[in-house]
Amino acid sequence: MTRVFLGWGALMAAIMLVGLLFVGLDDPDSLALLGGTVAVMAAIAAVLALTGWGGALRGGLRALPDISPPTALLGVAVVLAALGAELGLWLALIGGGLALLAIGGLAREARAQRRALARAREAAAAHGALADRPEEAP
Amino acid sequence: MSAAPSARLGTRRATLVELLAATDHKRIGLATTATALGFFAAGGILALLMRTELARSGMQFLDHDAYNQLFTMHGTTMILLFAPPVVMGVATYFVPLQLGAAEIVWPRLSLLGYWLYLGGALTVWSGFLTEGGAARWAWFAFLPLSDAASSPGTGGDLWVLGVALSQLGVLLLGCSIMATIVRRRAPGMTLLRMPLFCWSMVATLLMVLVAWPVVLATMVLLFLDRNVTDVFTVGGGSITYQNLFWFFAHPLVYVIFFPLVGVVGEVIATFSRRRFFGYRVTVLSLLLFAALSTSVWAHHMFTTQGVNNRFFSLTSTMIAIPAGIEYFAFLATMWRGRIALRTPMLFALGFVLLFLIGGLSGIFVASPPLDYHAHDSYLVVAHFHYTLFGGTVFGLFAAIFHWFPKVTGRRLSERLGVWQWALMFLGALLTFVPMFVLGYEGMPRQVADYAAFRDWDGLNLLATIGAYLLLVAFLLFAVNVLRSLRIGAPAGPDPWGGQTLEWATASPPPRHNFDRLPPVRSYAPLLDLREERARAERALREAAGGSDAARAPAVHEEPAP
Amino acid sequence: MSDGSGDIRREFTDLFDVYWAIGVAVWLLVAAIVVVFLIRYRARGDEGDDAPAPGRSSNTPLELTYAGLVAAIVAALVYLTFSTMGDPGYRATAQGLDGGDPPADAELIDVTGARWNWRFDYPRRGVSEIGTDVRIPTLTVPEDRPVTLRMTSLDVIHAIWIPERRFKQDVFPGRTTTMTVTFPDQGFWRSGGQCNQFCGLRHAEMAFDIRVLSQGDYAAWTRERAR
Repeated sequence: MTRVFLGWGALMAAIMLVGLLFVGLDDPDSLALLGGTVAVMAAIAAVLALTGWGGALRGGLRALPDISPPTALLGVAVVLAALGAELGLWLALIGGGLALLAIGGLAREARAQRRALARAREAAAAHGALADRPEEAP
Repeated sequence: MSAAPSARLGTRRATLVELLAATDHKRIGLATTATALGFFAAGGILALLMRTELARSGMQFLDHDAYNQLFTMHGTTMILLFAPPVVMGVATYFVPLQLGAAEIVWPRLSLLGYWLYLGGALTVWSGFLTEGGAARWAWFAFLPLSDAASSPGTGGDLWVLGVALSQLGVLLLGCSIMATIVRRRAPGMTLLRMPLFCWSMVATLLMVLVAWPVVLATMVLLFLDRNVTDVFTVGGGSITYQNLFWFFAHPLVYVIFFPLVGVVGEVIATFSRRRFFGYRVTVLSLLLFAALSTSVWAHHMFTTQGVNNRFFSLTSTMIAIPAGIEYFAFLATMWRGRIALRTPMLFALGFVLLFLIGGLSGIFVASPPLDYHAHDSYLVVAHFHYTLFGGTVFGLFAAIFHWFPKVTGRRLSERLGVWQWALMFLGALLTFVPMFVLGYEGMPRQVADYAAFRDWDGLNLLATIGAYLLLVAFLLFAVNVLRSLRIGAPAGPDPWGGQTLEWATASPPPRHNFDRLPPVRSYAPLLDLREERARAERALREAAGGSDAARAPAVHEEPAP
Repeated sequence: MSDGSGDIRREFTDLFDVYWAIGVAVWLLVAAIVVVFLIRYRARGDEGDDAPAPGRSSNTPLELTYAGLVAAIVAALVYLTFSTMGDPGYRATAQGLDGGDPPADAELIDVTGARWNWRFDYPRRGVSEIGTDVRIPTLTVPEDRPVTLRMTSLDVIHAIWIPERRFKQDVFPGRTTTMTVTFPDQGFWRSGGQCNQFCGLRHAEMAFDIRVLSQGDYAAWTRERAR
């Protein structure tokens, strides 16, 4: 998949070059936006390549709860905090407080997830099954 | 061919918490799609109010201020609060299934994205509840019109915040889908064996990754400009704002269109009983299409004398090439097919014909001399309603009629669907064709009223009648859905003879999506299996020496009345 | 195509006709193909509905040839558009990035837009025409001579569209945009010019009348108004 990002970035660069060379595209806004696009694509391709994240995952154990109320709470909290910028500090503080609660809840979820994963891995090892590099869901 | 339906552990209805905080990508996708359809209805009601007012010259029941809020909120709702979320909702549900994945890669990110979208959308609409009313600066919010001096008030600020939040939600939903395409393809599913819909999502999400951060930054800057300090100084600054805005907003209109190209391609293939034609060329052309669509934005600025008109005219006209390639592929897929004209196929063909009007009229306005007349007139309103309504909405209904049985386990009524389609098709022509004429004759867009001496009453009335036809069509749809949920015929795993993996599991799919995956050897794995079986049957018949040999009955379901 | 005088309505129509013909032809062609295919390849009831239809699913040389055909049409349209843009009629018409100074014999009018009315100043004539709350202003111009409007705004972005001349340009605060228009016929156009960039509450009412006088009458009018 890295190649897709790289290739598409190259395509954008080609379009930008055509503009520069043949149609006199020279205004700073356009060049910044097109150039930025190329840069973003190159960056994503680089990250994928360096982290080895660009290919499909095979197998592995995952642990994921059926529901994640802290995530929903975080969403609401962010909305309220943003509204606080308009409606007043009191709302921003409420939003911030709820966000902290939500993050705490997410931390607990993460801990529970790690424990469940460890249990599952033990069980799989006990049965002699091969456990690939496990992927935990954020 | 189809996986054995897994035992569903209890079919009790989900609690509210389970619905609102689910990590199951299917629940999140469904919530996003349903919410987006709610905003579609809300935006549609605004349109009806506008069209009712405009049917005759003179103000009927609104004043100019109210009308200006209505058209601002109609545009904002449709193009920001309905369309991008709806394609993200459908993709959140179906991309993992099409890839043969058990899960989306970042479920919590998707869930967070949904809540930001919902919260942001409600924030935008809360402008109506403020003393000063909702934003009324057109959906583009150009500076200086949108600055604190020209448009003071909370309603405006809420619009800016709401747009930022809702689009952040869309971006997060998009990131999760992209990561899933990168990481969760089934064994054997190389990139060039992904279904067409997934490739259309790749092209879509490339644009999202580049364009959405720009709108987030622009909204932050606009908020600062309104409340803290001058960010965009007068003169050059308003051009910069437009460059930033359109750099986001042009890819936006392709983001809400590409996924439906993928859906329509798959529907046409399915209902022609053929493999999609020209898959590889189409994949490349989708990527070219996305690259060009990120390079055309200033064709919205031809009349500003602030951009290089030739460059943007060149890229905007070139975009006909990938579009043409895709149309060729649609038609070639039908060629020599065995076409079953069921409702998904009807909507897909409606997309093909109506979007084409939008696409062709787009080539007109890609020419600056023509645009100097057409820009910001009803000509352009007609053009983009054909791409949005003919494209996004017809495509969306193709997706809905195609995938409703998979999501709910029930079939929609074919007869109600055909009536809905007919009303939508007729309504789309009646509502928007008169607008081409009105625009050519000099009617500007975004006007609350027009003078009686113009003689534009007749055409405006026709457009309004068309809009009411569309209302009836959508009411029929609501009836269809409600009826099907109660008494619709049950649908098995594969009611249409589908080609991709989502049809290889129960309807609706279990929590973990698949019990067993069929082998993936191409972008139409179920079609491969079906062809294999047909070959085997033929071989058996020949071996048994005659056409009388019993043939295993083809399994197909009767369409629901 | 043009006689260099800034009358671009004819050039517009010529270009429009080409685009229109191609657009209609393409749409009819695609619609015809869809209908024909639906009729010819409709599934007949006796076959297994499920059985896949045979046939190839790619033909890259064909697709690339077809893409080349579309590219050729695109190239033709770009060529026609660019040459229209380079035409003296348009070059004299749109200053700014398309370059060009107004013709030396152009009648100069400074236009100021402000919410929600217009003001026309004739710098070489000492004449001003200002719209009021009860009466929109009238843009009085001579027949058959290029008229250069130098436009600016006092507040938000506006635009001037003269549909009868097939032309519009935006009007910005803090900068000047120009458009040069030639009016070939005498006459009066009620609300012949209108604001074309949404500018707030009374945007829909921000218009001006256009009165085109013979050159002699115009000279007389400017003398009369200058007093």
